[in-house]
Amino acid sequence: MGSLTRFVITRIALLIPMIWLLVTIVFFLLRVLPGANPALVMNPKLTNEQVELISESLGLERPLIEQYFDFLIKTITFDLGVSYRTNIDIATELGLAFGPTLMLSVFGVLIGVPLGIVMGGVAGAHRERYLDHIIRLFTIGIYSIPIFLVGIFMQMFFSYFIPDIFRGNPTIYAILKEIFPPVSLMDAGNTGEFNHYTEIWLIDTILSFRLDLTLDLLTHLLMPSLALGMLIAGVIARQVRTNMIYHLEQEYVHFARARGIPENVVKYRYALKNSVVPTIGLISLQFALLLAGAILTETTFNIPGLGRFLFQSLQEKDFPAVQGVMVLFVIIVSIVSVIGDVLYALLDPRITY
Amino acid sequence: MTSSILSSARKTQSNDRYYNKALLEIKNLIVEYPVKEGNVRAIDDVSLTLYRGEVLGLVGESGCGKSSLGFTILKLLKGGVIRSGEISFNDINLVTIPEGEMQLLRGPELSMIFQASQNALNPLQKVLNHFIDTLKTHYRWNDESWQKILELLNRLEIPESRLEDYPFQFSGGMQQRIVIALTLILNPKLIIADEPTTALDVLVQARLLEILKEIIKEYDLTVLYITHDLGIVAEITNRVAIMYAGQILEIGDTQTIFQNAAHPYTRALIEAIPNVKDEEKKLLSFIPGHPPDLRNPPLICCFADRCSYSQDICHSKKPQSINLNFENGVQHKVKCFIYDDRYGHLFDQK
Repeated sequence: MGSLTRFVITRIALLIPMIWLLVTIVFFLLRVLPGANPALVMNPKLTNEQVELISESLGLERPLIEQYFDFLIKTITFDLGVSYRTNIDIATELGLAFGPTLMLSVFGVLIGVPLGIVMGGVAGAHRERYLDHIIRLFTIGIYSIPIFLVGIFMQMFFSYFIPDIFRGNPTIYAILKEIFPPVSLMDAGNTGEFNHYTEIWLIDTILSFRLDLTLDLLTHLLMPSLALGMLIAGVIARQVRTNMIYHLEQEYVHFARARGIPENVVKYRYALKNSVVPTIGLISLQFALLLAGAILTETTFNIPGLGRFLFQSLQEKDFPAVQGVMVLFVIIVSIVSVIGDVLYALLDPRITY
Repeated sequence: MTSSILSSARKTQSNDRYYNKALLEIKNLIVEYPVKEGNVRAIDDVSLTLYRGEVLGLVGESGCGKSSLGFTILKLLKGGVIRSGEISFNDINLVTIPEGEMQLLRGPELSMIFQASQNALNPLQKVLNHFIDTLKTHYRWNDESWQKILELLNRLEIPESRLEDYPFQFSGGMQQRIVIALTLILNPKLIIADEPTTALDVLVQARLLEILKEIIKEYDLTVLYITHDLGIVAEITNRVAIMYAGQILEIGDTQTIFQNAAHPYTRALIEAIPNVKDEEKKLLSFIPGHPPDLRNPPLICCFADRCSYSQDICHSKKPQSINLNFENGVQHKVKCFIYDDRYGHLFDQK
């Protein structure tokens, strides 16, 4: 395992230049984009003095290279500046927004990955038969319908139409309404009733011994996680299906059958495992994308996560906030992709570095 | 003519050791692959008997249906359909047996040795786990199982220390030994060996054939050895079946086939073996033309178009299997009009 340890250390060490490079791209990109100078577009009623004041406070009138080094040094200390919109330290804002996004992403992946693997495996094993066609139709459908539309449809069906069917029965109606709340992360007012240790509310509510709030949180997470999960499941299922078809044609599958190894073991233990391991890269990428803010989902379900924060900051041309979010995304995506690579190397003995 | 091969060929043993108890009997087997344009007839009216303890070579060009026949016997044919015929193994009819029972037969009763050229072993599974999975499928795991694995590894000269390795860490020859060991661990009565040594270099191949020969004797195996290499056939088989276009054109004792091949196709095959000592035969010879299209084949001799002896009759009728008598008494069958009493005279001028 010596080579693996070395590989892990190398990958972690490589993280630093990778993040530096990406952060640099973010910095320059934000400064060449149209409307990059926020002071000019913030508010037409501002006087010239006021605009200059803002520019000066952001250091925008200084040479670019000076700004860049200033930015680098501040980024290392995670000093991302202050948001125009909320006037709060951006690092604090991001800390608050990261918790909901993390919960949503984890649940999305927890739902999406197993669902995708099962669908892909079954579709591949039933190639060109009914189950395969149904699963493929589903995965294509879910992937081609915009996620916010899926979210809205889910809200319509689960929060309104289906409970309405049971309007005659108050108990079922109340339960359904309780399980499928349409928006937000918690019922109004609940957010203040527990200690915010980590800002990952799932952990906080448990640590505060408010399991009723944990349950409330989970019901609120159900629909958005399902919407995200189905999207991921679609991507993974298509990849797993293709790999599965390839592996079911391989000699080792025939040879296993020739030794009398049962069909289920051959398909779902041998071929499926071989089909899933190469998708780890895809899974980690999907997870990183979710962590980097499922903008549409968070906006549709009104979840105060990174995606919604980015969306709101963009709308108001909150320049330092957008830059801060981008820096955080860079860090998250880099770290998750390294974790994915290490996991792949652990699961596939053929990967050596 | 074929002395170079025969010199290495083993002496045919006394015939009564074989050829009395049939282990596998195939009768009039027809297998087709349905395709868009009709049916591809991969196996066309094949009848074949495998006797206990013999090694029967199945020889033919690629695409002639020899592998399909192997997979049909194991009922693992992908996309192919058995149209008619009978495969009886130990008085069990394999054509009609339910898949559940067939799965139990695969491994301990009849099995297949694959060519280890590409992924014959699960790339993500340690070699030891291949053995454990295979044994656990059919038997309860106990100390004896462990002994059995070690004994077989020793027999096939696979170092025990490498059981924890993954397949990709082995050389081709070593992988092939593992494949053979995995088949033998269940003590099958019948083994279908599908070109097990083809992917290996000649030295490794020679050593492996040597081991195979010893093991066949030790374990009293019955083997259907599928290959296109006549050298291997001479080396290891007791009898040979020559397959062409899904049909068995000739079947008989190995020595007889090499010395007195009856069918024009068999003769052409043997002629095509290069011989570095013989100046005339140094050049590679070949049979002009190519095998017929197997989609809805016409009812004529399948080799007629390429046969240098062919007469009108060959292009109008399908030859039947004819028994020939050689002095060693081994059944010898050939599908050719030349040996048919009714039509033989048509070929007299040749």
